[in-house]
Amino acid sequence: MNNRRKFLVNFSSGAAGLLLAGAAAAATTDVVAKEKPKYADQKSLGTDMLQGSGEFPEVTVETSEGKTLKLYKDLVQDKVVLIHYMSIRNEAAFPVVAKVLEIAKRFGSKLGQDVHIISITSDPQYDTTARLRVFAKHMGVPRKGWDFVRMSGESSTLVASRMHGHAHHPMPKALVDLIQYGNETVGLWGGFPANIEPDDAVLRVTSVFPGKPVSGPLRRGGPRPLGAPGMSFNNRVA
Amino acid sequence: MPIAQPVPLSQLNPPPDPSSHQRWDDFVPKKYYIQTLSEVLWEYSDQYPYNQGSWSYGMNGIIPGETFVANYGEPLLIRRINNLPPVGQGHIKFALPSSTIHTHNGHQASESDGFPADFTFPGEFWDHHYPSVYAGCDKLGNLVGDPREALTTLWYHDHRLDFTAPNTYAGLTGFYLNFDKQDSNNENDTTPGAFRLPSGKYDVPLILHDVAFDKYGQAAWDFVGAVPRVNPEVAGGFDSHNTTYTVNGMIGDRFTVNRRIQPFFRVERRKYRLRVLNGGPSRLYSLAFTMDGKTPEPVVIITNDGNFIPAPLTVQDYVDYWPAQRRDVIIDFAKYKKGDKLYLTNRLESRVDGAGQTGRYLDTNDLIMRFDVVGGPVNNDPSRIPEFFRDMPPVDLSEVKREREWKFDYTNGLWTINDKLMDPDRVDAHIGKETAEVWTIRNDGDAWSHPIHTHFEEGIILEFNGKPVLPGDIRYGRHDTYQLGPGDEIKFFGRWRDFVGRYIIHCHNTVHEDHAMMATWKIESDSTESVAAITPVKKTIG
Repeated sequence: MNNRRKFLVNFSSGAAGLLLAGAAAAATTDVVAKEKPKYADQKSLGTDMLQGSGEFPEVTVETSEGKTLKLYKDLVQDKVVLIHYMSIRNEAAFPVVAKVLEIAKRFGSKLGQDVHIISITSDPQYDTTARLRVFAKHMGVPRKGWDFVRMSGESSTLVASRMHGHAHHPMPKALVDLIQYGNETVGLWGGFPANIEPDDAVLRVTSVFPGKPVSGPLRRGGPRPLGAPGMSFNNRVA
Repeated sequence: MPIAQPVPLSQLNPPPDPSSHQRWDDFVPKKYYIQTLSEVLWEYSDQYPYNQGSWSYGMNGIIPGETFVANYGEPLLIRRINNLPPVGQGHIKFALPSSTIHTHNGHQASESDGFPADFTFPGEFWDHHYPSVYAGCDKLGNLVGDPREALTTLWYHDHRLDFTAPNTYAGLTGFYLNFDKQDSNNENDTTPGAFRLPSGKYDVPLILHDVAFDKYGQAAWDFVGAVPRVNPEVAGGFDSHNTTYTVNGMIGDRFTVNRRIQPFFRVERRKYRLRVLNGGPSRLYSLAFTMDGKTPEPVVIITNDGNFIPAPLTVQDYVDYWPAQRRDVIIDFAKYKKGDKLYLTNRLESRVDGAGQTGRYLDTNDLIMRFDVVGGPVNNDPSRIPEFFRDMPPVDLSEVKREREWKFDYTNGLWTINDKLMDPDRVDAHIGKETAEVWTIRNDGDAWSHPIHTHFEEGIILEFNGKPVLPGDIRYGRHDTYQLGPGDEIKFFGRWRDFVGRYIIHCHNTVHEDHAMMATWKIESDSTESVAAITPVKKTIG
């Protein structure tokens, strides 16, 4: 039974009128704190606690540079990240890395500073660290701010559960995949299809950058004058 | 709930830019409004811990936002100012302080419709122009339109790309009510043809949201744990310690109406118009008004979504309300005694992961809110329930330029339409302005439910799972939101008129929407897609 949430019994109030709490007889149990869940079979899965507000599992990964890191602590925590799945052999059919590269170019110097990219291989057996290194170089992937990682099957199951709602790697042939993005410091996470316009992707990711206090007069967000130049996918003032 | 009050144009600084709005000169606003989005402390209840205040996204300081009362023939403009705290600086962590507001299902131009990519950031504003015109004005060659296209109970809500679910959950919803000479907002109206439905304090919008709270009374957005995981070592065989990030839905454990937890409402012994709306995010309801928590009382249903049905329908049964759906219900409390209590009651069991219904009814129904009958008989209730409201616009299949199919499915843990995910830059249907089409929407899944909503125009359901929908069927009439259960298929007729630009079709389980079950269609003056005509059928329905 899910005992994380319970209902108040005989919740009542003497106040009059609509919009004030009233009695309800359908209750069964009491509200309890929303606690961070722990794995019942934690022993078999190692240090598999969901971490932070983005609730990522902490798993060990190996980067294409041969480093052994913790996914959450070293690559996600306190960062704004894009995180997605790829595989070298699937890139031709579903060029997700090429798409992410277009986005990365638009970040410019922000990559590695304000935003980081994590590419997880869904084919760790073929995508060895050496192959990933060569692949990244061949693709022209910037060295700073972008990590290609591989992990064990069990770990990948956990990460896939977090990212895809099911405990297996995405099916590459489906040609449908999300790139997830988030500000882990705050706990804001979203996702966009891998093949949207790069400018759209950049706008979405920068939307979750830490905000700055607003000053000055109000600005018109939109709509822009009809026919005026601007982004093709919205009516925002350019 | 408070009614929104207009402000002088001089308060909009800088002033609206007419060149940004289609047909501004045709529909010059007669009223202006300002709505400011900000983070507010809201009391969901006067009981602890809710009385400590729950941080929410409010509009003009309240949730739900103020109710807009719009009259056909009186265009208006709403300036929505984003004064939400920037990312990381507010109390709410799960919602994004970037918003676009959609008036569901108004007949407004694309640039005022709250397209998901038309969002503001803190410190910005967006001007929404509402022409308050019946659809079909261009075909009729006037600036009035077809009164049979009149809309009534609409609502507005955040529609921000990727964050509609948490943003609406945080508070960004409210009502938008249309009136005209027939539905005149005056139960004493002696004008011939006036409906004289209950008005004023007897016309009550009710928006349902189920919300989960933490032990501090703060609304919590449950990313993980909604799906019980099989664990034979635990009693019952399931535990909630599941790593699956829920893209299925969000089920709250407190029922709120107008953002109050299970409220009660004192009603006089006369007729009331109750505008019941399922504000989501994901829960499906099957609702009735009961005295014993089980047995439906008779009520009179007068609308489907924002449309009057041709004639009032007396129903003594549970009626389904899926997210975004609304029905106006007339209840005459005169037949009850002082001290009687009626409950808005739900019998439908929802999947805990929010993806739809389990297929079972609850053993013990949910009591959403309570109506307490007070006072003696009201002998001078001036309100009426007409025997007939309006004819529906005719369905003329000879007008149909194209038939389209929209297939709703699930791939790679994501929600797809025609095997694709939402891309605001990709137009999936180019529709000729002033054309009609027949759309078939189909749920290819066998375990989940989708309330499918398409913007801007209403549709008339022709068939449900291959069978014609006829008068007397609860589905008969115009809709903007369609119930697609597992394996269901609905065919509807629609017209696309008066404005051009991008709009969307999507699942209104907003968690599905955010995980990309949405598609863009576009009305174009010179679309070539729509001229690929099907063989015309010379038949008129309705």
